[in-house]
Amino acid sequence: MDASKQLLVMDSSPQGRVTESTSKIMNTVSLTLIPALAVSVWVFGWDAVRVLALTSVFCVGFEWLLSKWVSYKIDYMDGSALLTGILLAMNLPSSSPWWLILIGSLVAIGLGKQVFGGLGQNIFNPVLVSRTFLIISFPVELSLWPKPFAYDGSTGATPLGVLKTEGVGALSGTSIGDLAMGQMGGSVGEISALTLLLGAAYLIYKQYIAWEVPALFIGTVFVFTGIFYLIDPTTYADPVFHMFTGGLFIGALYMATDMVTSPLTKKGRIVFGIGCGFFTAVIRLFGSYPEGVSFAIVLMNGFVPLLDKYLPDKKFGMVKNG
Amino acid sequence: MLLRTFKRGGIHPPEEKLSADLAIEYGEIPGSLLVPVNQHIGKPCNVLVKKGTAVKRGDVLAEADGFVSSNVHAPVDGKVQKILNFPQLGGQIKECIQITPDNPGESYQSVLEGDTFQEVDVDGLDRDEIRKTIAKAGLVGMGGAGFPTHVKLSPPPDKTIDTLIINGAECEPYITADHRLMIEKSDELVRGIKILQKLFDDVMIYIGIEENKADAIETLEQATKDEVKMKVIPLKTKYPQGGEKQLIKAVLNREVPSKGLPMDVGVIVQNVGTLKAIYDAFFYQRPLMERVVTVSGNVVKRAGNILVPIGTPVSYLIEKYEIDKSRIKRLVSGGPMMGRTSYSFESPVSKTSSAVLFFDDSVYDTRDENPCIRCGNCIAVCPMGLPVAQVTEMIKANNVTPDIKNYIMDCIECGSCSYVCPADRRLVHWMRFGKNIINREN
Ligand code: SF4
Ligand code: SF4
Repeated sequence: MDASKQLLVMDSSPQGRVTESTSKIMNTVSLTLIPALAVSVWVFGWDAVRVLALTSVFCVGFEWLLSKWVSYKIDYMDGSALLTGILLAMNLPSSSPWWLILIGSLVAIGLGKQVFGGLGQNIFNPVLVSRTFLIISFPVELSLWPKPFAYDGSTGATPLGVLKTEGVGALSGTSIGDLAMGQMGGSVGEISALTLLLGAAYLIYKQYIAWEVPALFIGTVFVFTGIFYLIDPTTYADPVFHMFTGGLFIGALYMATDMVTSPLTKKGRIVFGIGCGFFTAVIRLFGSYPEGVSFAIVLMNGFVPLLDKYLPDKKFGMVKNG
Repeated sequence: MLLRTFKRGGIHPPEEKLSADLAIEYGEIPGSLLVPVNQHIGKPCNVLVKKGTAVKRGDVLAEADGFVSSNVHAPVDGKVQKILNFPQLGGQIKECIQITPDNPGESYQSVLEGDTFQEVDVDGLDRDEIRKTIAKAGLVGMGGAGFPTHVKLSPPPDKTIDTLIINGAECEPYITADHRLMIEKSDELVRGIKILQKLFDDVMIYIGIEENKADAIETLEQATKDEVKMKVIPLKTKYPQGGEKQLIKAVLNREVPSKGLPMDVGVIVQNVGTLKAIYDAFFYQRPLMERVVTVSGNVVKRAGNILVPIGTPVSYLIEKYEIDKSRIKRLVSGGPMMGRTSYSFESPVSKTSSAVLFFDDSVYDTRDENPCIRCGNCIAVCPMGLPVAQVTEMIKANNVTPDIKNYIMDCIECGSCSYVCPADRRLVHWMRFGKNIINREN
């Protein structure tokens, strides 16, 4: 090339940047869900695969459709829609009919994310918006949780459901080991605490999620339910049971840590984690729904703008002059 | 040993100090020099020469106008060819004095050897005399900002200065100019420090050096071992430790108040290059006419540190280092974190050009901004503790409230926030944009 005609690049500093990108983060989070998904397939069979495939295709598909439609730019392949799809699958029963999945995906992408203005703008976790919407609109479908290893379509209540309707005595046969491994009724992804923990540990190591949120979330549930267990063990289940059942692990590790809908600062994240744990425990112990994780997170999502505003990091130089 | 550093934020970009072990070399006088008239922060100078004026090395080309201003000297013997506006390293267009030297091609080393050393009785120096000599020599902070040194050394009487920090952090990737000075000119630096020591009563001197420059730490420890009031402080390598506020926090654990200056906590910070210039001004009566520049980047076959007269065009460095011009895509003056891109190979080296870096497309790329995913990384690394993500959104929305202004004015433009943003948002750029909005309002 003729050197005299060559144009130099003008750019703002800094020149260098980390090799992270939105899609890399989103896809990594998706990949870390593979162990948990594998357990689901093992426990619920091919139905789990069916749900997962449908939510993924629907979520990315809806975002693609919307990208043709709205005035702002939507990068539907940035991995965020796919992650929403995967997480939505993990929040549904493996017996979900296709139309339920279709509605769920539409609500997650449309109402949960794009009405706010797309990626990064939504206040509430899109997956949980969808799940909450479905629980309220289709209570029957969302209370039929397939039994583990049944593969024949027979359904039953989740351990938390049993606890809520029949009391703590009905739980005597459940083993904590089974619960931790995921051998219980529940949604596609919520069952295996250990594999979720494995995936999340990697994300914490990569600093893609903040450890404060899940640690304080789960810790608060444990302490709070523990206090009531100590007060009256015949009415209240023990805290270890509470830790490993329901959606606590997937909620604390993958839903509450969603970057977009959790606080920006460490102080905010601490309050957020404790708040999620507190409301989860209150709903489980005293509410009318057996499970409180989604409601608690969505509720705390609503506080995030306030936490960001009122719990900023300490600015450098906020000292007395001299 | 637990090394000192600043606590809040900071990053550790790849160091890339390719020229760390390469001794300072001397260039030749280039065929033409472009000496920028204003190389400092403050009032613009008055140009004293015009087209055709014959100048001798050391003559004042442009004179300081008032106290907060700084002289500019002719770096070589020659004739003023033209006075023109020309793009600088960093992009702005500024007035320059073009000089055609009498002896192009002469080795700069032999020019320097022609200067005579004159012993100075430091103890006999009077404080005003010291400040005057420094002002006359046109000294400015050579680390990048270019604040006139004599102004910095004249705090108002109500501020007591008890500590002087010598900034040897050099935390930007690639740059090694100060590093080499500390190794090769340690005695000169110590003599320069002793002159500054005279300015204040009972002042303690700390030399802050990052641990990745172990040889510089050792050399200066050796050079200062008999000095009770001088101490080398090894620092943990972390960017932006060379920022004055961060350096003071690291060395002394004192926090300069927001909107305040180092002198508010009794400190003055001086850059290594400036100290060498102080030494030259006193012991050689040599005003600031030259500086060490690091030449580096991924398209240079051999990196280096070279002492050149101020006004030397980049094209001279390209030739000297045999850089393949056709491969250069990005010309950066200063380090990659804070340095600006430039678009002319004829832009001159100024008093504040610590490095000239040459890159092709493979190292850095220009990316589009994506939506903020609220990861909080920018906030976590901001050494000033600013809510970067929210503040930049407000600036983009042209919604600069008084609260937001306070944040914007505290930004030191270190670039750590943009560096870690996964969505490639140009956060420093928006911060600067915000500063412009505020300046326009005032
Ligand atoms: S906001 Fe300013 S001070 Fe903070 S990291 Fe960004 S450039 Fe540095
Ligand atoms: S680093 Fe970028 S994506 Fe993350 S919060 Fe800051 S601006 Fe948003």
